[in-house]
Amino acid sequence: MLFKKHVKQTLIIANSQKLPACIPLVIYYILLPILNYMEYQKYGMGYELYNNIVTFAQIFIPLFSTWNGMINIKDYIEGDGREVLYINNKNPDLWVFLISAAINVICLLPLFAVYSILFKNMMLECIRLILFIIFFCSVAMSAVVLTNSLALTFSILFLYTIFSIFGNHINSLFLYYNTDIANVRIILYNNIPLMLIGVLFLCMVMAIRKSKRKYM
Amino acid sequence: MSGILKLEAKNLIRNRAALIVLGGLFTFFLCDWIYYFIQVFDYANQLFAFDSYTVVFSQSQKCSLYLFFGVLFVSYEYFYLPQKCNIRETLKATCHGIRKPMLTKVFITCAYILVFTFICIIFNCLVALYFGIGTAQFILNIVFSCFINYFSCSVMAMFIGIFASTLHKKIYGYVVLLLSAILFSGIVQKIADVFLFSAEINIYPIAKLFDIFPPNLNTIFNFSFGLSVLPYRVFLIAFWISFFIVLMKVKERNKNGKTIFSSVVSIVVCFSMLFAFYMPSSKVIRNNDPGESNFHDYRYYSFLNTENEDTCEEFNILTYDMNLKIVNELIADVKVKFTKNESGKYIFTLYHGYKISHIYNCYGEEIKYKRSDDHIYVDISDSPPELLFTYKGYSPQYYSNIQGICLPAGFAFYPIAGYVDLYNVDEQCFISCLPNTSADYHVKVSYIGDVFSNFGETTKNSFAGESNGLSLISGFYKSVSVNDTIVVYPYLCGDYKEESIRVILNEVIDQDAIKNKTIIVTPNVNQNSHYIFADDHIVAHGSLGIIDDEIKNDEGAIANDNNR
Amino acid sequence: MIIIDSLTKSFKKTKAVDNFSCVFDTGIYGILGPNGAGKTTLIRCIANLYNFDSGKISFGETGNKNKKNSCCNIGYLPQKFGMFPHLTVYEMMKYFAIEKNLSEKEIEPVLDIVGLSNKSKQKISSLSGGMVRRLGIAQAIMGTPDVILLDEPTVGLDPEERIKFKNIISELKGATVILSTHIVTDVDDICSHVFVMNDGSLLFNGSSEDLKKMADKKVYMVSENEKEQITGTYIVQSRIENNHRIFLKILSSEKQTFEAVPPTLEDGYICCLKNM
Repeated sequence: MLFKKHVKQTLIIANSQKLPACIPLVIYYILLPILNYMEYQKYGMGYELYNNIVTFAQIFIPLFSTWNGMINIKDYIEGDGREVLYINNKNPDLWVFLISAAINVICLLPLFAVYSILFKNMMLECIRLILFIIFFCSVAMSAVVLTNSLALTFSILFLYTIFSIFGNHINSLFLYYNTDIANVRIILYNNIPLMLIGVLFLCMVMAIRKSKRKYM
Repeated sequence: MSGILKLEAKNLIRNRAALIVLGGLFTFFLCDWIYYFIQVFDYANQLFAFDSYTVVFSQSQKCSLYLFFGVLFVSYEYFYLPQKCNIRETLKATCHGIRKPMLTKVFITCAYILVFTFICIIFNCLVALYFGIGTAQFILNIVFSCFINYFSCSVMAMFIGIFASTLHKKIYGYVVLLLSAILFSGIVQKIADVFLFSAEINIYPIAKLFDIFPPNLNTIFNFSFGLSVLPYRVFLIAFWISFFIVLMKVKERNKNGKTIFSSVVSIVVCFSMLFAFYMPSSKVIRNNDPGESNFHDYRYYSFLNTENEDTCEEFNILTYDMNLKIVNELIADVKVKFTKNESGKYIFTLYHGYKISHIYNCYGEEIKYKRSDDHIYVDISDSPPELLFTYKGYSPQYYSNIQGICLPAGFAFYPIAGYVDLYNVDEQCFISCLPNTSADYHVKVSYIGDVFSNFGETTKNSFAGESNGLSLISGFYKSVSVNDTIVVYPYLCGDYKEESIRVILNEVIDQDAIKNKTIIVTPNVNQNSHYIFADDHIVAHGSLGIIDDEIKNDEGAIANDNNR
Repeated sequence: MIIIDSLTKSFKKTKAVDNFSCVFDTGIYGILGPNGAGKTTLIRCIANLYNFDSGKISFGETGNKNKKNSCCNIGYLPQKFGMFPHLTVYEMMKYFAIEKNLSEKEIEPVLDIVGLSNKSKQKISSLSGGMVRRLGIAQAIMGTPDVILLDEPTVGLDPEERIKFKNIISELKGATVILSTHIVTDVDDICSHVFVMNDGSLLFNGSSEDLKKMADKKVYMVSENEKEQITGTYIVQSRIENNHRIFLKILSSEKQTFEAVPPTLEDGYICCLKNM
């Protein structure tokens, strides 16, 4: 019942965002397929296409998976008179964010399905991506609670993304970007711990928020 | 002014969230620099510690990327504060309006960025001084480089943040921030690579507009060239700053004469900077840009049809009189005297990057010519064998710009006699096109710095001599005389300390091989090609150590060719 | 003195202020009107925050249009007012003093007037909404400006604070104070002259007594049982319970059989709005 209520609220907020809410869809269903298709035209169904899919998926998808959640909780964090939103529920922003992120992942499923048809190993890549999404969303929500600012949260997420992609420290547990072919070992020993770190951090931050009763 | 400055500074410092991000950046930079500093000193005792410099200088340049993105988002938050706190309207109704607080915020943000810039300068200068490469020239290079990479890039980020904060809806502000962040990161270049290699669509002319950060961050440090402070980078950053100022002016509601005037000035500056950026100029870029990077030649020659090699009657060039001017590119007036042939038809080879303006005969009459890629076809059967070529241009590989020159002998940056192939596509390198016969050279170079050549200097940057090739080099160079050999070397490279050069020349290399020759060490821009052997000098792209073996191999190869 | 001549301001197709003309001399003026009447737009035009489509606003007896000079003599408290949360009360007032080219000596007296001297070292974020509003009033009156514009100044103030506010405003001598509000009692207590606006137009311009007179012999107190005896159209102003009997205070332009009661300013305001 409560969950249904939150889903309805999230959908109302999401509908009001209009065009900016479609930005992740443009990335997932226009930009990425264009890049993949061009690679396919040149090299066919080979390693180059696989690498292309993995590279650009890891660059764009985790970052933009947080976009809808962030813009939907904008008024919970920065809106005038936002205290009224916290009357009946202590963490409405968390619910809205998580549901928005879940909707984002659901929107990604057709893309994941197509990738899985192209390459068998894409199933594992998709699992890896979902773990990254969970990590990113956890970090995003934690940063939002700590900084009370969406711009600064975006800065943290973006700096982390850029450092992971262009930094020199490859194969570090704390840096998500890794274009090695996904296998069970990497997922178990690298990606799942990273995801758990993110979730743990989020739980700690929410616990601190609850203990300080500082919802705004 | 100082009162409001203190208050606005307090506004920034007391904003815990912004302080965490900025402080976090600062801590990260310090830790990063200290980490690499320690690594540098670990290598310090080694004789050939050239790797350590590259790590320090490259890493500190990379950090400008992170500062840019930090300032982008924090400045949005900082400049949006009056709107967020519902104080903007009250301030607008006062004497100074919102302008004074905004200018104060700009000042404070610039001051913060300056702190980073100065720390980076001090850090790099300390490393340079410790390793004995802290000449005035290199220190100046470091200072300019830090000001471009740290200060101006971050000021640009600040203007983007200011513009985003003026947008009516916050969400559009976030869109602008995220879009700017993605465009100015290296992600656009990755996308451009896919377009180019997979679909043969070249979007680099647009993608390079977003390439504001130091070029060649992931390549070997160029010891001759140093850190890139070329004018095109300044033009690009100035374009973006004026672009966002124009956008802010357009958004301004209260338009009066003063605002309109400043808007017009901003638009003029914006377009001028864009125009100046797109002007052809020699850059030192090692990415996949098919127009301006070292990748250009591979692509160009790969698509070239070289099956039908033209020939003409053989002729030799007797004298070269060259007036060269190098600012953003090479501008040349080259008078060539050559032996006459029966047909009166001559083919010259000049790298295609140099565009011919005119060719005059000895009577000063402009003659018709045909240009096909690297080759120029002229017919001067009715005039003496003397031509004046006026041309200008640049090569992405062998650069000639305000910061450095790398024009070695064997590269056709001046007209060479005959039809000569310049590039080997299979090996992806330029072929030496040195002729067998010598010519008299009289060369005058108008250039801001000191130019080194294989010939002796008659006056400053003027050279004369006889050889089968001309090399011109400038940048971070010194020369040393060892016995009868002059070595011109890039002093930034740890391999090339004066003592180590003396050791190699005295103890390693066969003295006869290099006697009375000039050895010019150039940056290794031409892969798979390490040495060029002219009559009077040797151009070394790599280590000096095996130069005598290479000379013997080359002489053997020449002897074999002659025997055939 | 402020002279407004045929001022018109539109936002896209909506005319927020339509051909508004009036003169504000020294004194306290109230602008009444429902939501969306154009009061805030008018105030913002006077404060030079908007470019208006047509008309003229002049300041001073000579009709001086020098906007720079006039800006320095305007104290403005907007409807939505906030402060930098990280600065202290004194620092925030100092910020405003610098903005208005005033010296720091002007700060303490105004803090005394609004009763916030003891909070001068506290951060803005620790103040209540009412205190922030008082601080807004303080910055508006700092430096004894010639023109003081107050847009919904009593929002968020408790009754005691509202009384204090009215006392502060009443004691301002030699200034033109323009008070924009939809709380009629605020205007009733302190304003000598009242303007009523609706849909951007000026409906009434006169003293508060004249506005009250608009409802003269139109206000009736009717017992709820006698409601059916009311003839014509009427507006129920309020329901009053007295000795377990409910009375309706009604406004009607038609003469009723009931005894008319003396009108209040609110009655006059409603009559003006409804064109009774």
